[in-house]
Amino acid sequence: MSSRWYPIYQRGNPQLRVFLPNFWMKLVRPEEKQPKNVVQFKVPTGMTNYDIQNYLEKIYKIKVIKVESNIENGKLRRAILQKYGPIVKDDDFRRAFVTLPRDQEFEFPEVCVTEEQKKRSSEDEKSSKMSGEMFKNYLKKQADRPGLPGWFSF
Amino acid sequence: MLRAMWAVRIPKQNAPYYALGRSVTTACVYEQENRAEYPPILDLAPESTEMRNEIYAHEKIRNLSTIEEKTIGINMPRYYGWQSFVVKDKVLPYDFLPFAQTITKTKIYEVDTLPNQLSNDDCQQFIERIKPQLEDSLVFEFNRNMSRGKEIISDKNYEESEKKNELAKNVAEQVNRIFLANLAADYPHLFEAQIDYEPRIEGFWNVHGFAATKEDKEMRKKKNVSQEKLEDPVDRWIHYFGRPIIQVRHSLPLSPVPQDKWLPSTAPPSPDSNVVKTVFKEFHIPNYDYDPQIYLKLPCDRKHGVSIPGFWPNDPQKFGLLSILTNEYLEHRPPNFGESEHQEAVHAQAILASFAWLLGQATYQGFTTCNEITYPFVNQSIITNGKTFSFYLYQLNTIRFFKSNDENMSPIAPNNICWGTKSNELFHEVTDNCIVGWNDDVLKNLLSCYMNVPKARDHKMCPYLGKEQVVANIEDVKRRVWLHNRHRVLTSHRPRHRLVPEIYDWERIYKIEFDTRGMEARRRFFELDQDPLNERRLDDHYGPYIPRKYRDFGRRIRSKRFEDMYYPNV
Repeated sequence: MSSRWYPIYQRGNPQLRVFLPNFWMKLVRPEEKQPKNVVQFKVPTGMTNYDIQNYLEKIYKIKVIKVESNIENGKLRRAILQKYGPIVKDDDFRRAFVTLPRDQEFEFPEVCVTEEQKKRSSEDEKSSKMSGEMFKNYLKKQADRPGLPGWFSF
Repeated sequence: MLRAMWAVRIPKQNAPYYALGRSVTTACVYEQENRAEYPPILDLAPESTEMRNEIYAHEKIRNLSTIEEKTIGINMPRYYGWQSFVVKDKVLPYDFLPFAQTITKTKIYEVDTLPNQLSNDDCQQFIERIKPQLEDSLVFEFNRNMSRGKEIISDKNYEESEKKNELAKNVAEQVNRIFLANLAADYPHLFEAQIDYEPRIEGFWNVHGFAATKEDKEMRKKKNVSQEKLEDPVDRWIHYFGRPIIQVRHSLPLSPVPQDKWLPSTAPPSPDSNVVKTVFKEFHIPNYDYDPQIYLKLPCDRKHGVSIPGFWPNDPQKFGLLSILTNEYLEHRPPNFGESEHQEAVHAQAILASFAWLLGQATYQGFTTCNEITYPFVNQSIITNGKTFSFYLYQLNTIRFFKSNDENMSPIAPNNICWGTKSNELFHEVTDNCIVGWNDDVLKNLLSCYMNVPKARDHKMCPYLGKEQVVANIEDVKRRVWLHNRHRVLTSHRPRHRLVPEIYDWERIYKIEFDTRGMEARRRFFELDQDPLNERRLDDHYGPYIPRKYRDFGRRIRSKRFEDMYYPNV
């Protein structure tokens, strides 16, 4: 199955066999304190709790005790630079909490661990810090001469 | 650290200071300084102030003289009720025991013999007497249950309808009837006992120590709490709703378990018991501080908190002997939870039911979740599905789980204790209208529960109640009637007359998150920096209006247009 309408089952039709589900589940890092045997996912809104359970059990061979999920609102934001323009809303998503057996534990892995990734992220941080400081200096310079462009003096 | 700079109170002098020489005045001041009364120096840091206010409010509740006023007193800070987690007796999610233990601070020992178990000689004659009667009624109930839910159309044709599982309830009622009838002659306390069928049990208490959620952190940020304190643990209110099948209560309390019996003894098993002795298992109090709304799917509801042990405050039989509960919900739990998890769910049910019932009883002795109990309460409970029985003995040692309590009592805070047995079958099966394979251990446990005699204690039972004890004894008619009605309305859990204030979606988007309507008049509560749900107090309303013809003989006087209210001063 790919991106097409999931055929509604009618009595008498042949049994539906799904070989490749149209869903994808995103494992997310928990923002709050969470029991060790619970895993959090962001999934499409069309996915049901049974779908989630089957997805994990059939594809990844994970033993699932129960699935709780609820649909969350997408974030509201201004369309242009988060600051101007009309208010728009991001897409809704479903947040799923999957409970594993009590004796199992799951910890969200540290993904960026290689030297190269660390170096890149530190460089990014450095440059954003620099630009932030430059902007601060600019504001300071312009404080007592409102309306003048930045290139006006040396 | 900030210190309060209070003015030093010095008795007034009669002569003005300028009439005398300076040296005389100073001498006078020095002399008087010895007699000066200094108020205590208080720590004015925000946390200590908060803590002091908490203790001060609880002291006020303690000083109220009637049970009903104390109940109203707990609810005084919230007009629309406290936001609380609703725990129901037969809704037991996966891995519920750690949560149940955390919110009741209970240590549970899974044992073979409860501390109240009798010796074999005492039981044997009663077992012989009771067995045939029990057999008759059990066989009857099991046969009745088999045919229930079948609509007989013709001789060999019947239709299965939805089967109502009432076997556990019926068996519990029969067992209770037979034991009471046979033992009441020898044990007069059973004769005096009061029996309630399906009473309404509620418990309402506070637990400190849950991890702060995202919303908590946002609230704290709004209140300018410093960065390192954003993650501090928070308080949560728990509201338990239960309905046991039967409860037996008496005017005297059960005696507390002696300390040497707290830990199960390692005595050799009695030779005549046919059950293989298991190793005793101890469940320490875990710290389950995760959000139960997400991980246990507990509903979070705004409710007026009341603790009700199944009867009204002026009932003379105020102490519990025994409560019988059922666990037929186990049939509907998913089998993939596992056998040991099901067993722990039953433990959790017993802990919560016992704690809530004892909390209600303690409330009727004048203790609340704000005021610690001064003596232990004890309760026995039986959980059955009609065939298997498990027995529990619960000793309530503490009911106050506030932050101030945690800090004062650390490191050795008192905890509640529960002793419980595993589920055991009363008999093996019913064949040819006969019961096969009696388990005498279960019968002995049943007997021990009924033969546990309550005793009078030699200390004051209700130290925190005044001479009136209940509202019904108040002499002032107006005050009595008003308090009675207020308490009744509070316990009914009906919603308030006025609707709870609500923020509409469009307001949240266009007024709160994005300020797009700057020119509009700011009239709504969230624009005026008000929080009616958490700040409006219970007494924040007028009394009933007095029409002019009933006041001041019809004169045009504007004073006192509303009737008096008698809210407790908390």
